Amino acid sequence: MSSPGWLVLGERAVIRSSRNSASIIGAIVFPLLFFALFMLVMQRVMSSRGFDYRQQLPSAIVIQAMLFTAMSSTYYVADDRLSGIMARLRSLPLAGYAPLLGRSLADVARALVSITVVLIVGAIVGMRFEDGLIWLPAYIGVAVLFTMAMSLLLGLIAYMSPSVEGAVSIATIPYLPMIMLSSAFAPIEDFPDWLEPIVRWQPVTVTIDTLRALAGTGDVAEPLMASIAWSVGLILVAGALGARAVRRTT
Amino acid sequence: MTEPAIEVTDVVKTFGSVKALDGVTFEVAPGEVLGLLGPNGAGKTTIINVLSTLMGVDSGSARVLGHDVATNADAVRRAIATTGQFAAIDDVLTGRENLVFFGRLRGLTRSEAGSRAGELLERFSLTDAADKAAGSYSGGMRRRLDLAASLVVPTPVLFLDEPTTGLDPRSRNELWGVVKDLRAEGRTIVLTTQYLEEADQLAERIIVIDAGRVVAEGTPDQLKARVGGQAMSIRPADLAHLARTAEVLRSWGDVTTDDAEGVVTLADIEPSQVSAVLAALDADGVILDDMSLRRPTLDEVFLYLTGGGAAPEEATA
Repeated sequence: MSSPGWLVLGERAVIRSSRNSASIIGAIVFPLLFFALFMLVMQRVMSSRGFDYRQQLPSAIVIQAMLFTAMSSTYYVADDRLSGIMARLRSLPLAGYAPLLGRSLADVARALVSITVVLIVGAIVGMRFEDGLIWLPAYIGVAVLFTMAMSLLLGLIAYMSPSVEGAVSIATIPYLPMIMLSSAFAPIEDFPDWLEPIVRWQPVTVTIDTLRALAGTGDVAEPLMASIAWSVGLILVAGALGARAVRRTT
Repeated sequence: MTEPAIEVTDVVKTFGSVKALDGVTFEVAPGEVLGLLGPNGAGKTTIINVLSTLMGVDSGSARVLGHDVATNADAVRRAIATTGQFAAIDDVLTGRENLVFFGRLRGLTRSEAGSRAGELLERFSLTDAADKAAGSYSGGMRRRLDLAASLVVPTPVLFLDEPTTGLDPRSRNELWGVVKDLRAEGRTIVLTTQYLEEADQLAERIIVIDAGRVVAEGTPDQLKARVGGQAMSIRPADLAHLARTAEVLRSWGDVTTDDAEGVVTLADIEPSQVSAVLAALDADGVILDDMSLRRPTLDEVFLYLTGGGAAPEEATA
């Protein structure tokens, strides 16, 4: 049976990424390096304030890895656009959403590699699924949904970029505020009052909080709803805009 | 009367203040090979982009097999395949993977695409390199792979946008052979080129485009005839007589002098006037080393039609 275009494009994107040693390093080495450095530098400070880094840090590293994954994707999207492959795809009878959805599927595959590695190392340093591994599939699902949202959003930005370098730099800009102004590495209470609502409700925070709640014992419903709302909303909006951009004639 | 395979009607396309296409109209019959000939920036690629559903038009319409490119783009996409100026293949994938990939995107199953890829690799002499990354291919191999990627499914209409630009003569000849085969299969082909020889070799009919307008249309022979009669070249035995020869010939029309070759050429002359010209040269004391009459080359036609020569006014009308 013939496969739908987005799936064929997804397969191609996985092959491309898997033959690029940089994306293997990005998927495995980077998250582990951050994991080790944060443990080394921050663990004692945070633990002394009652923030259990062994339990809380892995979920932050997972989401950071998801952001890296989506960022790396911008290179491939911009490269297709500029190499002429996108023009060829656009002259094929494919759905408009197929190219960017295909690319985001490769990001999901890479995300699964990162999640696996981080959770294994997390388990070694002492992270536990306190209510049992029954929550692991939900944990992975929330992270994957977030990856797709970020991948489609950054893919859209990359598609509109005039150059590969431009796409990669533009994609890097939202990363720092999103990860630093979140609950990833420090408790929300530590942020200035006026910033706190933004920090509390932005997609990175609610998604990390969801993962922490799924691994721990906290209340999962509120952050889970917020995270899914963000991810699904971004998938629909960025996906639709991306499909329109691909199908727009100049 | 059969419906044309391609119908372009009064298409206007502007980029900012530049008119890339300024009212282009032409038709291509089913199974015909049409050459779009023109200098860089004439609008050839813009026409291909419009017909490939990549670009919209400001006004006018374009139809492929009766489907409008603007309102029925998906039907057009099913009917066409486009090979661009730059090889649009994936450098990371192998040659075979590229063809399987494009075959599956065209709706073939994995195994259908696999056997089709094998056939095409064979046909394009790429079997030896089939399992190497396409990024390691030479320019000629890349173009062949790119063309093969356009043939994974036999679409009735094929657009070849400057398929041999930048290729060495041998690769160009190989690609010409492939296009001739495709012509024999009865595909409708639109081929853009800046090489007159290429249009002469491959196209049954040529449209000359300049500055977004069609400036001439016809078979290669008709276009050559359009410039006028025959060109007469004279080589005086004594190089010192070049200027005097040119002076004499000038009373019959436009004259060009090639000092390096020692040849004076009269662009357009009726055969009946040849003896009068020779008599005049003789009377002036010019002794001839060589004299030839020939049809103008397409190069001369091209320069003439695109404003390199005299008065293109009537041609654009």
